[in-house]
Amino acid sequence: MALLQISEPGQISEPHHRNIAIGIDLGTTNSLVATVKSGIATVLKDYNDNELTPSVVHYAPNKTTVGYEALKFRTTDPKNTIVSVKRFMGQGVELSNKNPVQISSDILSHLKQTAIDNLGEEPIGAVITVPAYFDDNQRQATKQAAEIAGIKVLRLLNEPTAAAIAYGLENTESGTFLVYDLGGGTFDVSILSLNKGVFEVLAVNGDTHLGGDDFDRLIYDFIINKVGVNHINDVEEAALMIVSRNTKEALSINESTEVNFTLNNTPYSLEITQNDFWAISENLLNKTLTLVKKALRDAKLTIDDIKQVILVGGSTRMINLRTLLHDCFNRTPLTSLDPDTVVALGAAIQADNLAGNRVDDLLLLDVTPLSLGLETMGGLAQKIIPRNSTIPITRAQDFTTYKDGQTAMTIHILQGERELVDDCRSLAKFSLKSIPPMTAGAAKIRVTFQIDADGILSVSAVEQNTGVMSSIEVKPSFGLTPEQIASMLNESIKHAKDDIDTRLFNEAKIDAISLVETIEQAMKTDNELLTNNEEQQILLLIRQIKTQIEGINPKPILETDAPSPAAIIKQLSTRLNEVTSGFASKRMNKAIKAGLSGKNIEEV
Amino acid sequence: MWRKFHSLKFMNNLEQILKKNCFELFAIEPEFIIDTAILSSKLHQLQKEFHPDNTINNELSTNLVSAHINSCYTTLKNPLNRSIALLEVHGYPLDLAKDTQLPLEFLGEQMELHEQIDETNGNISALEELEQTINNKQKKLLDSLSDTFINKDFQEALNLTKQLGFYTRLLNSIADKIGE
Repeated sequence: MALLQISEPGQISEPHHRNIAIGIDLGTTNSLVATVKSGIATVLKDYNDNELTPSVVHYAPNKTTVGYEALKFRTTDPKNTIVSVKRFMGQGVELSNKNPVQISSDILSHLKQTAIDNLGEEPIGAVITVPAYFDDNQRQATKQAAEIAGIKVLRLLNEPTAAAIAYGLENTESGTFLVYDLGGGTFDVSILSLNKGVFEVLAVNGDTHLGGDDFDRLIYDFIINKVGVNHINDVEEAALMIVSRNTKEALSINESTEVNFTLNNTPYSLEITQNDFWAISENLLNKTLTLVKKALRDAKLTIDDIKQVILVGGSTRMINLRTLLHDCFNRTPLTSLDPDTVVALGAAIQADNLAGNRVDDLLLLDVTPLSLGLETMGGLAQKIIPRNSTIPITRAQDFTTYKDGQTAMTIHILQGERELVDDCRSLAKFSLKSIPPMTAGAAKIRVTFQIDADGILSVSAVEQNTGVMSSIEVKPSFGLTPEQIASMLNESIKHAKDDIDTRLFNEAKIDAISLVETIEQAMKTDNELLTNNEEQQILLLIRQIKTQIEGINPKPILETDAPSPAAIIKQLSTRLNEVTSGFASKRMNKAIKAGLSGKNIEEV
Repeated sequence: MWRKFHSLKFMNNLEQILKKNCFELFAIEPEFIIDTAILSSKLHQLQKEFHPDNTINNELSTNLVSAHINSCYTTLKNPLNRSIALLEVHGYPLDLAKDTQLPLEFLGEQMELHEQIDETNGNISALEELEQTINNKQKKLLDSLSDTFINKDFQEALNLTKQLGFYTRLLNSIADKIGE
């Protein structure tokens, strides 16, 4: 009889469906996906129980692999194995004939699949983290990559801000904090003020091309220098880069480490000490401190105003770095959360928040890292939105014509801090046409810059007297055309279908194999229970199943009406089950009889 | 309180906010001296209600309102922008780019300071020393500006604001040089 369930007052189970959203840390070296489960942010593990997915993609003619699987190709097929693609986001380069956006979308698809495998359903959307110092192009490229992977972006979130959220300091602490985030390929420093559930970013600075990779490269150069080798091939280079990274990691624990490797068929062994590492990395480490000082200056603060320093990113495990920061800030940095997972956890918390699951107040006020402006006469950049402005933000400025009868005006949008146009990043150009002819200086053109909460810019220009208007959603100059995006979307949908077919096939295969094995075993022991006819039928079905499992490619068949291999296997398995049901019940009877014989009734 | 239902009332609210000037929006008196702590807590209060993270649907409209709030925050926090906004409230609009008429004596001093910046040749400590000197001059100017607003001498406030524009430019130029 079913008992009635009585719940404690106030513990009534949730009446509404919870929207599941995920946080993704798309890193240079490793990527992670996390979600909030029963109120706790958790990293989702892949089918091999790994939290981290190496941000590595391998392209074979018919197969794309991501993560640890792809990493295996790093030394055997370095040309087609893409690592650290994040460094190329928003740039007009191709790696192994692929656009960085496309490569990133392959990593994102993989993470999405990990999430679906864990959650049993598709998340409603994702918060994807980006370095705080990413410019407009790099942010747009990241958003495009997510779009191609079929992920709805709830928000692009700055990595240091995500880390601060994960620490949950907003509930327990108030004051000013500094996040020092050194990842595989990017460096960010972010200064935040925390107060009663509000995270207000005061200033950010950074370098999107400075990270753990560069320290690996320093060790690599050091080793090459020591052994004095001039020529090194692709495969050896890739192998030595891995050795260099392992050396860096060893030096994050030990005072010195022995390095063993082979070059030109010659084995080498070297001792590298903490002092050696300090000597080669001092410049790079000091460079990060310069950026820290710039951020403090922008926030109009000094080191003494900082209550706590939070370390984020795997590269902050380096002993030399920790010593340097300790000496600089005169206190031990906060490292209680794993620097590798903290960003993904923070992203998951914000995703949960944006999906509407959170009840308490949490407010994030982030900033734009770089000034935005446009080109004026003489090749000078005029700033419209200064760096470190709280976003979203709208700022307008009026401009005028400089020639009599001028009917058009080109608006050249720039990002960066420098005075000369050539020193800034060019984001886009557009024209305001059909300005009625007026004397020079009579037209009043209001240019409005708007940055949304993802840090992405759009610009419009209106001639105030006539209302003539022109606007542009700033697209990365080196990004993808809409046609390219559409074709990639199609491609990824096709891939998703391939993936589903493969999974269904594998599931059907595993079920069928176990069924066949059970029956074959039973036939060996109880063959006398089968009629000749039954035996023939069973053997035929088993043969058919085995042919299907071994002989057929799981890729979808072109004619859509044809049953998929998975469906055929399932059908045959069902048939085999039916045919053997008589056999099974006979065996059951036999077993019961055998169990009963020799025992008296009381024992049964 | 989180996630506003976008009722008609809420939408009307959004529209009205876009119409408000910065002082009205932050519910502070249109005066030059402001309490930055109050400004900051008012920002948090407004954004808790209107930030697109905290509202469902209509992200576009809340983005606009939230952007307007942040824009006003930026304006009010910065003395130069605050002064220009205050002059506009009192009917003295100022276009810094066009209206550059100032006493010759003042312009002469500016020229000299610009030359001094160039003479530092990017030396950080020399730049910081110069920054301190200009900061002191600016502080005196801010005090006089505050007095003129209290005395409702808006014409003089307008002149001083033009001068403040020059000091701000000098300080930005020094900050950029130190940054490089």
